[in-house]
Amino acid sequence: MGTEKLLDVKNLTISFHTYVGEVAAVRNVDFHLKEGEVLAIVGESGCGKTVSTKAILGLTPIPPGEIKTGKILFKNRDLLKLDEKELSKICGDQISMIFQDPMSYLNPTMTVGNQIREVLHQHNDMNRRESKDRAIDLMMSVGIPEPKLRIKQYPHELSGGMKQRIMIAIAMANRPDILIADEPTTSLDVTIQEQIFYLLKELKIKYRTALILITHNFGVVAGIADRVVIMYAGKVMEEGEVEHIYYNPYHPYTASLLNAVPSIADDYERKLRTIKGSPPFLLNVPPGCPFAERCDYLMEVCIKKEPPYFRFKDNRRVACWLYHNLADSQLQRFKEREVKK
Amino acid sequence: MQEKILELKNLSKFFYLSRNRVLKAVSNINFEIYRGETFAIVGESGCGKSTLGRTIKGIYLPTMGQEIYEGKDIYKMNKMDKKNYLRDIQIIFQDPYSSLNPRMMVEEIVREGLDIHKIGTKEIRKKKVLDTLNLVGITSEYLTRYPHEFSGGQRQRLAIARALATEPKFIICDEPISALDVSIQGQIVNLLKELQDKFGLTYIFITHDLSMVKYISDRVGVMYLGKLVEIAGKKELFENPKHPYTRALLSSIPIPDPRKERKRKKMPIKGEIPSPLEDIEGCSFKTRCPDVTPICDRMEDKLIDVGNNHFVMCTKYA
Repeated sequence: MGTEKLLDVKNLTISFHTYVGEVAAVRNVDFHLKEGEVLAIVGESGCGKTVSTKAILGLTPIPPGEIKTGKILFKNRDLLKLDEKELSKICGDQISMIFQDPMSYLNPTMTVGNQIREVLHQHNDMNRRESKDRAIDLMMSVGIPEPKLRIKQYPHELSGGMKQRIMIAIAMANRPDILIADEPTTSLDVTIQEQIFYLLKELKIKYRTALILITHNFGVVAGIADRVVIMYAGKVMEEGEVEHIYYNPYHPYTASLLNAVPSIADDYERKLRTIKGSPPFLLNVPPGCPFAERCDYLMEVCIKKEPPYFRFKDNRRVACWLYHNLADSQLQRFKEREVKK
Repeated sequence: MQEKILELKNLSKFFYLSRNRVLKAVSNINFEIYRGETFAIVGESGCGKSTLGRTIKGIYLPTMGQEIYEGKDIYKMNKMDKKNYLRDIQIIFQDPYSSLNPRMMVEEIVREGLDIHKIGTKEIRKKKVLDTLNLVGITSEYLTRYPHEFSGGQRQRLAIARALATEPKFIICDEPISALDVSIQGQIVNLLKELQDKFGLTYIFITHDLSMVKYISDRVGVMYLGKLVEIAGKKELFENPKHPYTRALLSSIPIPDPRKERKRKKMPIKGEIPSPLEDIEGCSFKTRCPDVTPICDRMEDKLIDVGNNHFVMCTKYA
């Protein structure tokens, strides 16, 4: 794994203008990705994880969206400043993305073979025979049986798992430096999920691709991620290496989320722990910490002022007032909480 | 064990798509459910678990078989008994965004069952609606709101209130939590458990999430391509799974713990679930099974008793 920052998202703020008002979907988000690394962005629905990564590829719909502040640095260029033509040279070539629902992202009127070849022709000088051979190779490498036959089929003729494999073949066609996978297995069954992640791990090693995995599934993250970013209500709440996050979460949100996740490895008869309340609406963002009203370690300052990032070694950071030196006693309470075995 | 509340005998539901195409969504299901228990039905998408749930509720008429509720076959009941049955058995659906009528107020949604079954006077009904909403944690100020004003978790609470209003004995929960976030899932599961303890409800809990099954069920049935391939007590099933499919299913669930997850023995089963339109002779899992033998082609649809209230449909145990 390299130490160079391959991708650096800085201070990204994205809002959506709706009839009811401005929705602050992503607020001052920072994260970076190193060469060959797997970064997981984890959060519940509506936390801004998809919005912030779609912006990398220029997929934010503007309007109603508006990128208010921020930089997305890739190989020393700010992707937000590039025009459409320049960006389209990078997308699908050096950075590519796969989505949750392969049915709605594949073109229903084109054969899957042509969809793979399209991205090959777009970025390479290739003749038709070469691209066909390459497409068949790619389909083989993503585990599609009988690729010579399948290449002529349309998306509706394939199962969900096969469609996701086609999406992966398209995304990996030009051996990108970065693959962004947005909930790649949420619409698939567990046995197929297992196959897809097996494939992604294989491809990642083969092509040395760095991966940004967006998900809400803590099980999947545990198996593949090197580093984890926890998002909530449009903000990064905590960031750290995967083992740190799972075994010693710093943010009360991360801790309660991990506690609420059911696990097949758990004891029987344990009552499921929950988080009270529900996430805030991002229409009127509360001035303090967005998790304040659901937090068991609430302090006065949490409601009034947004917490800054407190930074620790190994690139760990957490947005929580508990780490302010005036909050020692409350932090002690958090550290002594009941942890699920 | 306790008293049987429901028994299914050779229940099948086929959909006739065109002259030669039959979709065997549910075939030859046999099991019984005891009063007060939670029976989980687990399976991947397209395995027929929702069709089974709907057939039990009577939304679909079965192609074959019997469903015996408190000693009477529900498909042969007289009108009065049938009406009582429909009151006693309620259903909660997966997607609280499409299962609540967007044009009805909360009060109307919850009261509808009471109106249909003509329970009580107007005042009694109104009180009943309020009491039920209180049970699920929704206060009276929301009575005149519409579903779109609620979040996913709250809508699912409304769906539960609607199911509870007629004081059912039995609730079919068809993936009631899969559309919700983790932090909300727990709230709904705990609520369902509380209600069960309070009213002695019996649940059929249909899900694809085996890790959740561990928290809520007493017994588990595993479905594959329309057939129930294994039934066992929860502990027995998790500790001693017999069917190769159940084993594959259990082994492919990621564990939210990096060290355990990276050590987990991964044995991804090859291939995908075949189309339910295909007529597969013998065992329907044979196309993906790691231990397939020639006799699998001739397997009968019969659950084999392997002791300890554990039943499995696999030639290995014949």
